Parts: sequence; C-alpha cells; structure tokens
Amino acid sequence: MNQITLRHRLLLLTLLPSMLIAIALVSYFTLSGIRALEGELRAKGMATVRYLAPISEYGIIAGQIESLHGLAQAAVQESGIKATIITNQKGRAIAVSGRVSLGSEQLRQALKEPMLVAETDQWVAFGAPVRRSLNEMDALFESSDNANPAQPEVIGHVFIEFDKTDLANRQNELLQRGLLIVLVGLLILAGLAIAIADNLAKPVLRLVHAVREMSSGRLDTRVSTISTGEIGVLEQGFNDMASHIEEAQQSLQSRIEEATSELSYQARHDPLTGLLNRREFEHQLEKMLDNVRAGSEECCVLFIDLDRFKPVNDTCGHLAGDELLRQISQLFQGRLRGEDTLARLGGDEFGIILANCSSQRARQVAEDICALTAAYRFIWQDKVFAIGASIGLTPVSRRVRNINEILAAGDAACYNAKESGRNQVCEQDALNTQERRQETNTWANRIAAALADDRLQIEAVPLSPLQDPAMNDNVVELTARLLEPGHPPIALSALIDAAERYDLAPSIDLHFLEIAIKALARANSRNRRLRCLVPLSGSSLGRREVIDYIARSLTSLQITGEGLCLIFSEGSSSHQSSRAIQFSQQVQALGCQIGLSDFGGGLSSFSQLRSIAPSYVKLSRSLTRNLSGNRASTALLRAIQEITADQRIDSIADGVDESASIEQLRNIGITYAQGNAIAPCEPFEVWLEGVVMRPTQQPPMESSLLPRNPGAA
Amino acid sequence: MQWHRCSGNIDAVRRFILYFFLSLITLSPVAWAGSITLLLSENSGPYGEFASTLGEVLDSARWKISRIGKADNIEPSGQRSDLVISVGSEAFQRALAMGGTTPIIATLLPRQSYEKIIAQAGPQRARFTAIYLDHPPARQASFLRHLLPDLKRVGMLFSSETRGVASQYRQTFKNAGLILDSEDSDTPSTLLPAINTLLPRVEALLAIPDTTIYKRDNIKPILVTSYRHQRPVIAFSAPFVSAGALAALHTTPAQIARQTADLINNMGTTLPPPVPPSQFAITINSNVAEALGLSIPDEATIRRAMLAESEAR
Repeated sequence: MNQITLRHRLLLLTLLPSMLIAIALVSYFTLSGIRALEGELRAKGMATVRYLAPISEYGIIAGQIESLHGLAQAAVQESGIKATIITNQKGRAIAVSGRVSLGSEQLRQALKEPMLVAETDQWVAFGAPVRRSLNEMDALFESSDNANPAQPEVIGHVFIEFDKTDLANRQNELLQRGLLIVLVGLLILAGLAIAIADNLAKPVLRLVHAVREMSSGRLDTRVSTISTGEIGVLEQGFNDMASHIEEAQQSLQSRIEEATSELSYQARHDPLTGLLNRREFEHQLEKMLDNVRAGSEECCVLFIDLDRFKPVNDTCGHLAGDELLRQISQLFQGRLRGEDTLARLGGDEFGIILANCSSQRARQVAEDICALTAAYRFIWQDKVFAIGASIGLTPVSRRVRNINEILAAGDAACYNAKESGRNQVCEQDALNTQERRQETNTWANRIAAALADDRLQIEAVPLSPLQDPAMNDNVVELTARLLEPGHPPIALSALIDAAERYDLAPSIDLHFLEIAIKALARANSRNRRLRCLVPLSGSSLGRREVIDYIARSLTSLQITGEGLCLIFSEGSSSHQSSRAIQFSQQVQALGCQIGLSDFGGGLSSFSQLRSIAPSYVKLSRSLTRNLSGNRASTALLRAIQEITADQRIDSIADGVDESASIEQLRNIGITYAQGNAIAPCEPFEVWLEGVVMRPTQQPPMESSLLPRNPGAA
Repeated sequence: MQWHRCSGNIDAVRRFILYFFLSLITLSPVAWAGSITLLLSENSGPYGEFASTLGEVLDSARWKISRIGKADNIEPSGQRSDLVISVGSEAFQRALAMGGTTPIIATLLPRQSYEKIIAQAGPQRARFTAIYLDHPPARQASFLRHLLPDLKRVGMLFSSETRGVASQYRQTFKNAGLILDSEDSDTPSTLLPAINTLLPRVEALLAIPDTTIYKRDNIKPILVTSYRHQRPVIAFSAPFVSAGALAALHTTPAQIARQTADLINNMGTTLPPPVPPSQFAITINSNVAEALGLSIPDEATIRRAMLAESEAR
C-alpha cells in the first residue's frame, strides 16, 4: 500500500466506483434488454396468433385448405416463425407450414384464448382458438330459441412456433454490445481518470520535486504557481517558505562570512593594539621579500623591544601594560607612512616593515622612534613611567633567502641595541645571523643552563668612599655576566629583561645571595670587614623564600646580616611600595641593610626614604651623567645628598668613568663612587681573594681612594 | 279532492258521451277507445323506439297505454286492458302465455317467427293479428329493379322455414321480369357450399328473414363468400347493410308504430288479418357498392321511384 503513489490512488478512487457502476448499469440494461427481447417475442407470438386466428376463420369455415396453406406459408415467411399449424374443430391439422415440433396431443388441446402452449430452449409455441365471428344482426330477426349464445363457437386453432435461435442471437448481440459499451465507457473513463489524476497529481509531484530539490540544498528552487485552490495555496506557501529559508540562509551565510572575516581579522591582528600579529607580520614580510626579489625597491625591517616595560606590568598590573602597549603602538603608527606595516610580534616586541625605504632613511625613522619613545611618559594613576625602545634594523635585499634570515638578523640587532645600553638603534645585515635567532628562541634555556653549569660569572664592582678615606670597610656591588662558549659575555643588564620575562630572575638573585653570604662568612672568619651590595630583581621583592633563604644561610654560617645590603631599583619599590616596605622591614629585622638603586629617576624617590629607610641610595645615572655642564643635575644631587646625609644614608654614584667626575662628586658630598674611574670590574672571587682576603694588611683607604691599576690586582 | 272522489263517475259519463258522439258522427264502424297494454321484448333499442313513437302517435286522451318491460311482471290489470300490443317475438310469446281474451296485435317480428310461435302456443281464446317485418315479394322485386336496373337473375337461399314462400317469390319475380334461382340449405355445413353453387349462376343474392340461414354467426361467411364471388347481397335490415350487404329494404320501428297506431284507430270490432309493413325504408352501403364497382342511385331516388310505381298500380 505504501508503494501506491498519489496518482495511483486517485486513479483507483475514480476508476473503481465508476467501473462498478458502469458494469452494474450495463448488466442491468443488458439483462432487462434480454428480458425485453423475450417479452417482445412473446408479445409478437401472441399478436401473431391473435391476428392469424380471425384470418383463418373463413378458411376453416369455408374449408379452403389452399388459402389456409397460403396463410400458413405467409406466416412462416415472418422472421423467427418456424412453423405454422392450423387445425380444425377436431384438432386435426388442416394447414401446416414449416418444421413442426408440437405433438399431436398439444395440437388437440382446446384453448380458451391466445396463449403460450409450449416452450423449449430452441423454440416456443403459441396457440389461439379460431372462433366463429359474430355479426350484430337486427335482434328483431333473431329466433327466440338460440338468441344470445354465451360464447362464439370454436371452429379450430392456429399454432405458431418461433425459433428461439434468432432470439438467442439477438440476446448475444445485445450482450456483446453491452460489453462493448462497458469497454468503451471504461476506456473513456480511464482516460478521464488519468487526466484528472494527472491534473491533481502533477502539481503535487512538482511540489515533491521542489521539496527534494530544496532538501538537497538548492534553496533557489521555486514552483510555478499555476494551480488554483488548495494546491495553489500550497505552491504559494512553498514559495514563501523557500524565500524565507533562502533569506535566512543568506543572512546566516553573511553572518558566517562576517564571523569568518572577524576570525580572519583576529587571526591576523593583535586584539590588544589592533596591529598585525606575528603571523601576519611574517606573511607580509614574505610578500615584501617576494616583491624585493621581483625587483622592487629595497625595504627595511625594524624590530623594536620596549625597555623597562616589565616594571609597568608588574607594578600597575596588566591593564596598565596593555594601555601602555596601545599608546606606544599609536605613537609608532604616528611616525609611519601609510605603506609601512606595523605589527606587534608579542609581549613588548614590535616589528615594522618599511616599504621602499633605504637603510639610511630607515635608520632615521628608527632613531625618531627611539627619541619619541624616550621622550614619552606613560602615566598610570599617580605613577609616571619612562620607557625606551631598543631597535634592531635589518635591510632587506634580494640576496636574502628567506624571512627567517630577516627575523634572526632583526632579533640579533635588537639584542645588540639592548645590550649596548638600550634605547638605541643597531643595524644588522640579514645574512649569516640565522644561528643567533635560534638562540634567542631559547633564552630561558640559556639562562637556566648557565645557572646550572655555573657559567654565570659573578663579578665585583668595588665602591670607593669619597668623603671619609679612613673607612676601612670593603664595599663591593655584585654583578654578573653570562659566559657562553664562542660568544662574548653578556652583561646582566642585557640579561635581566629576559630573565624576568621567563621568571629566572629569582634564581639569579639567590645565586647572588649565596655568593655574597659565603663571601661574608669567609671575611668574617678572617676578621675582615666586608660589605656586599647585592642587586635584587623586582620579582624577588617580597618573596618569602628570599627572606627565608637569607635567614637560613646566615644562621647556618653563624654570621650577622650586617654586611649584606640588598639593592632594588627605586622603580620597582615605588610600584610595589607595600610589598617593598614589608620586605625591607623583614630584611632589616635580619640585620641586613637595604639600598635603593636608580634613585632620583622617579618622582617618588624621597617618599621612599622614609618608608623603606634604606642604608644606601644608588643615584640615577641621569643625575650623575654630564655633571660638569648640568647645573640642574648638580643642584638635584646636592639636594639629594643633603636629605640622605641628614638621614644617615650613604649615597652611591655609579658609572663614574671619568676621574674628573670623582672630585665633583666628592665636592657635592656623595659617599661612594663606582665605575671604571674608581675600579674596573673583576671576577668576584678574584676580587675577594685579592682585596679582602689577602694576608698583608694594607690600609683600605689606599685601595679605595686611588684608582687602582687593574694589573696590580 | 272532490275531483278524485268523483273521477270514476266522470270517466264513465265521459266515455258514454264519447261513444255517443262518435256513433253519431261516424255511424259505422263505431270508433273504439280504451286501455292498451304495451308488452315489450326489451325496454330499449327498436322496442323502446316503437313504444315512444306509438305513445306520440296515439291520442293519449282516448288511449291509456301501460308499458310492461321484459323484466316486469304482468299485472292483473293488464288482463283487463282493452288491447295488448306485443313488440318483438318474445313479447308475443309472453302475450300468448298470459292467456285471456284480450285481442293481441303482434308487431316487430318476422312472419316465420309469428307463425312458429302460434304453432307452438296451440289453440288460443284470444284473437290476434300481426304487422310483419317481411316485405311482400312484389315490393322486393320493385326495390331490386330500381336498385339494380340491369339485374336479371336473382339468387335466394331457402330453408325449411322459408321454402313455403319460394314459389310466391318466383312467380312475383317472373312477373317483374326477374329470374329467381335458389338453393336450399338447412344446416350450417351445407350453407357455404349452397352459396358457392348458387352465386356463380346469379347476379345478386336476395336475403329474406330466415333464422336458420341468416343468423349472427353466419352473416360474415355469407358476405365474405358473396364478396369473393363479386355478387352483391340485398338484405332485410340496416345492421345487415352495415355488416357488408349492398342495400336493404326494411321498415323502421317508428314506421311500424305508426302503422300500428293507424290499425288501432281504424280497427273495428274485428281484427284484420296479419299484414306486411305498409311503409318502408332503404339503406345503402355505398362502400360495398364502390367495392363491387356498382353505380347505384341514392336512397331517396329509389324510394320515390318505388312509391310512384306502387301508386301507379
């Protein structure tokens, strides 16, 4: 039943009842026709005998056998009449025509009226009495005896036999005609039914087809709305639905496209600054490289690493860092042309592709960016940060094989700039620098490996007292240098950003502390006076394990913390002031001392003197540089000197490379000085053995007052 | 009321005066008046026609007619009436069966029936007479000659009933210039053979009332046979003409009624002998004439000619 389609059902529905009705009607009419034929035959037979009887009357009365024979023969000529018999009063046949089937018994019977006398399958016989006809005579002449006889006298009979084969033939013909009519009627009906079914099924099939098309994804499928009535409503409804679906699909598609483009934008852009990200930068770089190779003008690439970005992040949180990056990116963008490409490569690293730009012009742009960055002040709440930009410049020529060369060269150049004292531009050709790039990728590994292999060489920067030469304490600041085979040593200042980024700075700090405490223990065992200034990174500030380590080490070596002075930068302490204060108090509780480096570089320097109560302040290089021509710096130095002296805080000027400066510093009243003009850097062990632990007692004043010959040590 | 009480006396006085006056005026014979019993074979048809015509024609002042139909019982008063008129054969039989002495006039019956009934009834006390339906042979001959002027040989069928008048007919026809040829038939089986032998010899068949030959179930074969022989049948009644005879000389019941009234009015103390009808009517079937190719004059012409001939004698 499920396989029957709509068309078949309609056909069945229309054909079956009409077929049944047609068959019933035609059979009814055929049967009644057959019956009517039989009735007709009977009527004809009765009529024939009824007519024949009076006609035969005179022949019988007159005994005219010939005329009766003629009559009988004439009757037999009639269609269907098989035999005619005329009998006399005694039942004897006096005239016969045709083949008689009736028996003599039947011929002798006395009939009262015309009737059917016998019937078989082949024939049917009718008979009628022949009566003497009565003429109305004048009653006056009737004899009174035999007046009004009841019934006219029967003087004979006529019989007629009909052949029924003719009837059967006609009946058959009727039957065949009926069947033919049924057949023709059914054919016409079938045609009509098919037409109706098609008329009804075709629109539905069109709809079905359209639905299939639709479900197979062709949303622009429509049906032609040519039907009327319910089907028309369906077609219209389908079209409306299809339009809605198509519209919905299109809007969905457009939304998907929007989302895709959004994703693609996000995949290519840095969400924070809206600049291109590293991947897109590399992609652009590749395109640019292709263009250069294809013969366009020379291009340059700048790699920028922000200096002193981490403190902002650490002290003010990531929100501040993010804001700084946004502002910086706008700052950079302002200096660039429309055709240049600025990208944030990650963290505080930026990349710039300067299209159609010579290396001279590129250097100019880079230096402009340096200057802009140096002059820029980031203000977050009540804090002001000065940052810098170390820029690596890499010209791109057609000899460059791939962008990795450019990236490596740029990275190396940037590193060089950073190492060379930050906020400057270094240029590095894209060739032969691939190795460096790879190493940069493993900064963390390199520092970790150096710590593990003890390749971090601790160096001593001795301090020389300027005011009181009688002070016989050996004061030294610890610094470090990364020794790697095949490479020049890397200064801690260049290292510290990476170390802080990869959270390795505390390890370096602990290493410093270990060295310093051991040295103090050794000096103590020999009754030598030693003071070690140990620089701590901002990340170690407030770390509990640092305090714990110091306490543990001092206890285990049975020494006081008197000679240990922990130095952290004024910037980091001011940004994490509460932690710094707490840390200072804990350290001072252990008997150790606190020093602030880079003092005077920020605005909050003086407030820290009270809250942290340092024993030393290490003056910012911006104050001590160019002392001779800078009265403002001199005045500031004096002010600081007066305030620190008042609070019994020793001031230290570092980076004193010229001996002329020594006198000026002394005049201002600075307590200590360090730098190449005082004493060169040397490995801490060497310095310890040579200066502190040497057996011969020498006035320390000499060694600190006068510039020593490195060769003498 | 007064009038009713005295009606018997007044009637008697009136009758006496009437007799007296009539006797004075006519002297002889004396005019006769009284009550008449009209005995009908049937109430309707020719009998009714006869009765109504008689009632119209007779002077109701002189004659009181009481009708007795077929189903009515004959009242005793009928026996006391002055005259009985029987209409039809059956009525005549009943009139005779009543007995009594009242004179009877039998009407509307053929002569053979009249004679046969009298013969059957036996001796009677009453006097009776009749007005036959049968026309006299001379009138028949006259009719034939005027109907078919070229006719020479006339055929007739006689049975035992009519054989008695055969010679009279033959003589009369001979006088009129016609030759009568005849055959006898007393049974139905001999009828058609007799006709078949007679008709080739004659030019026409004259039928006279004969209950053996001309009866209801025989008329058709006779007519058919005569038609087959292309011979016209001259019959004696209008229905016979309708059935297929060429023409008929007959008398209507009204004519008989008038003749009866005349007879009553002119009747003296004695009854006249039976008479044939004094008046006659002619009926012609023009279809039959056409079918036989005969050109015949119309009824009025023939009647006038016949009347003129009878007056001339």
